[in-house]
Amino acid sequence: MTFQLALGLCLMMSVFVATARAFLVPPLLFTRHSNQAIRRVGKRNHGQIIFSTELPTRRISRFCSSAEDKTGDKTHLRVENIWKSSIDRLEQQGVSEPEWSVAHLLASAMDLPWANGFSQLLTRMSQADDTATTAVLLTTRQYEDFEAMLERRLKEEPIQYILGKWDFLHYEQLIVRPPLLCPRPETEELVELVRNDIQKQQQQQTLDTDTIHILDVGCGTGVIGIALADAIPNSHVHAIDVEPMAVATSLENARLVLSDQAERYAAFQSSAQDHTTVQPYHVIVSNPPYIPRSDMETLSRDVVDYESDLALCGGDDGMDVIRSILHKWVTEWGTPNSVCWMEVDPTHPALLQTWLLEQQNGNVVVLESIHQDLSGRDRFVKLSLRKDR
Amino acid sequence: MAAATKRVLFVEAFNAIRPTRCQSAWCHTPATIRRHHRGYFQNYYYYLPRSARQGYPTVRLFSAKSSDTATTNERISQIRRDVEETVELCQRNMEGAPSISSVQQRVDDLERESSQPGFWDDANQKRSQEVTGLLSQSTRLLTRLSQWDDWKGDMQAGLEMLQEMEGDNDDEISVLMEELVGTIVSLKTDLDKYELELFLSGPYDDAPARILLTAGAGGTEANDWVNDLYRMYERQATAMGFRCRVEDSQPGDVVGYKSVELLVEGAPGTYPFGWFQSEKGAHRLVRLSPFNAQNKRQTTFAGVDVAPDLSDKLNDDSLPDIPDKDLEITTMRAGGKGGQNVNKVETAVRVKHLPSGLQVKCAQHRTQSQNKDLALKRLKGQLLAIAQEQRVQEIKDIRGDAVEASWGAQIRNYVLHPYKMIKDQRTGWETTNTQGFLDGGKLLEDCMGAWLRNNHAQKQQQAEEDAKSS
Repeated sequence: MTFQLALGLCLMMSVFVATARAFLVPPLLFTRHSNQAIRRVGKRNHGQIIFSTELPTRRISRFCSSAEDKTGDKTHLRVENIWKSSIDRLEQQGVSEPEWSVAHLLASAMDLPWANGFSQLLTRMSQADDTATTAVLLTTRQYEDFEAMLERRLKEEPIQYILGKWDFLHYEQLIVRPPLLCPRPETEELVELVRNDIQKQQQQQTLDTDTIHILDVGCGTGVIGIALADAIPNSHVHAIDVEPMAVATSLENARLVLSDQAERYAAFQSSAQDHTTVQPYHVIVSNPPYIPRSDMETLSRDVVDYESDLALCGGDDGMDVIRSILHKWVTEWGTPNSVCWMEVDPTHPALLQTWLLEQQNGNVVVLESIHQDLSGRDRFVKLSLRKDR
Repeated sequence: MAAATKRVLFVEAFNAIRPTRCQSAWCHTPATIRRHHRGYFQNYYYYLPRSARQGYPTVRLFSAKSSDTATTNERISQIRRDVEETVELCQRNMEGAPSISSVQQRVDDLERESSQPGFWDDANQKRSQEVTGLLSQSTRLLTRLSQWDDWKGDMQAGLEMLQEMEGDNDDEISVLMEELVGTIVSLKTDLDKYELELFLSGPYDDAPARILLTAGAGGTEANDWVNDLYRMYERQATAMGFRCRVEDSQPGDVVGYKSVELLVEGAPGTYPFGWFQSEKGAHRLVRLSPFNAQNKRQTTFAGVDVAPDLSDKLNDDSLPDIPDKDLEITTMRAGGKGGQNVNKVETAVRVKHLPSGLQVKCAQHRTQSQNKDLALKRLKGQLLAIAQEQRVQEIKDIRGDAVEASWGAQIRNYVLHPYKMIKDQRTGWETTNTQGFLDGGKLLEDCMGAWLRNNHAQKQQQAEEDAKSS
């Protein structure tokens, strides 16, 4: 009995639904689209109105079909729509650089050329009538890739980690992995300073050896040492880091940049205190963790939540690692005419000067020069060993 | 329902959805581009037959002047004069140009070199690029010269045939005449173009042109004017066979752009900057403003600055050295702590040359160092070009005020109301076909050509005066 009742109900329901479909939906569609049909036909025939009850089928199919069928792999999502909605989402979350984030992630998802894909997107998106770019439809795979990356960016993950690669100087697509420090623009300036300094010394023949030995302390992704090894053909670079991932990544990047010259670059897992060497170094270069502990609270989430504290925080005044590097350099690593280049916090040059005066009875180390970054902060120091020691 | 009633109902429905402001019965332009159709349909040009609209004649021919009234014999003698004149011009040009055999020789040499093993190696990259450029240039010259030869032969043969056919069927003669006139027009157009290209011998004429359009005072109307100019130059570049792309743009508040930066590039051996340099200056528009509440007549200006893009052309050695104290470099990281404290991906760099006030911003690379290098390179390139224009020996002699006021006085008037006239102030070149001009193509090319001729004549005059005085 109950079964029959249920069956009857079901039948009634389906009949009702069918009638509803037949009576309600088509008239709606008809009124909605018949205007369109007339307008289109009228336009095409230059004003001669043609009586037509034909429905424009293409428009209906677009209305009724789901996102993917009939057009194969393409979604109905235009680049410009994705662009706008994603930027809005990032802005609502308070993520920094929403436009640039979307440009980089979208360029990667759409397989645009690495070198200029993102900048092309950025410039083209500001032009409303550039339909060749803005009206492109994404494929399902591209959309899914992009959505996955955007989700990560919404949690303020650095773009470099999401893409897994980034540029440094003119070297493209170097590997960047968490928790290593993403290379900063200031570090490029450090490398340029060191490179110019070494080349100048070579020209003046004050650094006159067959092989220049360089040590990169706290190499991270390895970019400093690799760029120097590439710029100076007769150099031999050692890199150390406490993070095993840093050693692996540095060696991979060295193979990318130096290819057959990669044997001039070696990376070891070691702290500054533990590292010993047979061959003393002519140049020590480092981008050590230098942020004072009090400043760590002021950092934004994309830095402090993702990048390793070991690569950022340098103790209470930010000079812990700097001091141990200087100590090891003076006592073990350096040749008599060696120099040490470091990227530091703008407060450090003054601190370093007083510390050097307090510490060294014989005035072994001289703070030779302080260099500013492009924003005008005291960012780089060059130290040298006193010759008359 | 009777058919007649149905029809009436549909006409009513149709009238309801038609754009209300348009009064024309046969116009269905959507509201968004109404501004465009206003100019288009109001123009007399639109009412010409389609054939007349397309190839707007720029070459003046005797035979084209009075084709309706002249008798066949008169037309034949006119055509003969045209042919003689064109052949003479062609011969003069061919004497000036290298001979076909020598160009063929050069092409063969270059092809032999490029087919050698090792030519495409990385070590040989510089030479291979050079050879590829030369090769395409020589091949183009070769096709052009042989095309001239063909055209010349066609013309002479056609003229002989015409003379033999005297007294034959008029229809056949007129077909032949039309063909002949077509050949004369193509040859003469190409000869004119070649002659103009000979004037394009400045050191940067074959560099890509960087065109910066800036709206003058006048708000929305000025922004719309920049948009019109942008459209004109884009179409012009395409019509002349160049590639045009937008490097940077700043949209206006309501419509159009506050500024647009275009980069016009061409194949090696073409002259993007050479052609577009004539556009540098202020462009003045007079029209009934669609953005004015009372639709009143309004005057607006747009500044057009054209500079050669030398970033690819110059190697580091040929660039001038600028002392650091003359440069002001700013980055996006200026505020805040910088360094390890911040992880931003935007690494734009702005370089400003303090003595001249010229500045260049670069943001297209991921790394700051690349952006800085490119910005510096572009800045130096622009300074070099300005130094050449101002005829000063050193970068430091460049007058700052001249750069600032680079688009001082108007160079061209575009009057769309109360009469239609576009007139170039420097050459006196003018046209009443305003819409055709703003669509880019033959007319604007003609106008640019007039400036080139003018410029060439002025230079020659100056050289003569210099020679006299010294």
